[in-house]
Amino acid sequence: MGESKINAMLDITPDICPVTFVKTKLKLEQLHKGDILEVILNGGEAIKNVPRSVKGEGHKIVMMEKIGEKYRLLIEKGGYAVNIKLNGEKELLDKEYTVNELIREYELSPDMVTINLNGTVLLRETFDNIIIKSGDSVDLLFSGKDK
Amino acid sequence: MDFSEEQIIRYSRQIVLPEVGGIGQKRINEGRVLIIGTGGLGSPAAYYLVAAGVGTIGIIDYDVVDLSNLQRQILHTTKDIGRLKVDSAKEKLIALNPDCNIVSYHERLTAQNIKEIINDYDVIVDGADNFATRFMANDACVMANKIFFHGGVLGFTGQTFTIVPGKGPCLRCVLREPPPPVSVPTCSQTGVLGVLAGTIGLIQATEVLKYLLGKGDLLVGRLIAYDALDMRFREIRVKKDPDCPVCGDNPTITGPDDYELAGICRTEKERGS
Repeated sequence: MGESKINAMLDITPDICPVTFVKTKLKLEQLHKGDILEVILNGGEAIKNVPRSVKGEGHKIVMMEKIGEKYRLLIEKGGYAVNIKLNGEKELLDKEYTVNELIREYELSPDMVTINLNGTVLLRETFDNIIIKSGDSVDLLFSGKDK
Repeated sequence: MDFSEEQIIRYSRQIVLPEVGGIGQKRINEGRVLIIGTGGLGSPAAYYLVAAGVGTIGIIDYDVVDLSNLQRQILHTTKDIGRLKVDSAKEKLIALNPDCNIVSYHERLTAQNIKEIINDYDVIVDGADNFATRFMANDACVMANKIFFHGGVLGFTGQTFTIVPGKGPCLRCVLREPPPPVSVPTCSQTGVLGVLAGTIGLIQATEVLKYLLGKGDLLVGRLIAYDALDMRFREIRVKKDPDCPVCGDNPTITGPDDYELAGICRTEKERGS
């Protein structure tokens, strides 16, 4: 089997939860999207939790194999997960969108909506320039301007 | 973004949070926070901020530890009675987290020194024990464009909100000026249940961490009024006042002033601390 190019390696066998995942997470933060991280970890708690937590943050498990008592994991760094609050509900975006892109992502027309970003109503002219970042609170309101 | 093994373990419970991660922890580690007072509000705020890893914490207090402080000012212990509050506080904070640089100022915050002191910090936490200092700090923060986390407690009630100059109201938009000395409570009226200071001080500390992380909604334009007897948090909408004498369109207050400090009596000074 052709193996992907490995960009970084990490041995978390001496560590216990939650440091196992924390070290993996810190390493992934230093990589670029699409990079591969090789992780050596123990069975039991580590193999049960680390892959699950890694997936939860938007990365991909490319391969998992057992080597004796240990495991070897290849993780592909996913897109930067952007957590926002959209109309009061938690929403996970796969990247940082501009306001315009976000509106189109929901198949809406920028002419029809009013955007309240972190308590401030945005001018329509700024939709292309403002980028929605993790932690932002976005209210998408319909202005009801029927055409 | 290199953390030592010890730092990774120490901060692991917050680095795991999607909102924090290594990037957020770095922002906390690089944070510079000034806490006015190491009393009821300042103690819990400083303790948790140091625990979270805030890199530089300034503490200013001219007072010494008194037995009557210990019911709420949790940085100080019985054996600290008579010591400078800043010395007692610094000792506990360094013991908790040697990563943090604690800068102590054993002096009173005045119109003369406030500008220079706050200049070294990103944000300022209100743990003042009197109205004059609190208003002076508000004014100086607005003028220096520094974020000011207001908090106050009395009896079974407390209040807090976050002042981001230019974005929301300041203390003077809400309470125009310090109350006249006659309306300030007498000795028997200045009681406070110690835990109240903890609750409010920790809301202030939470706001500081959110600000450093750049996550969530700050308490801007929203004042939280906490009534412990009813166990209710009320959120009061407060607006920026265009006629505000310090942050309004035509400000009349253009420099910090501490003229009111002279007339402070002991009971008033203790209030809110």
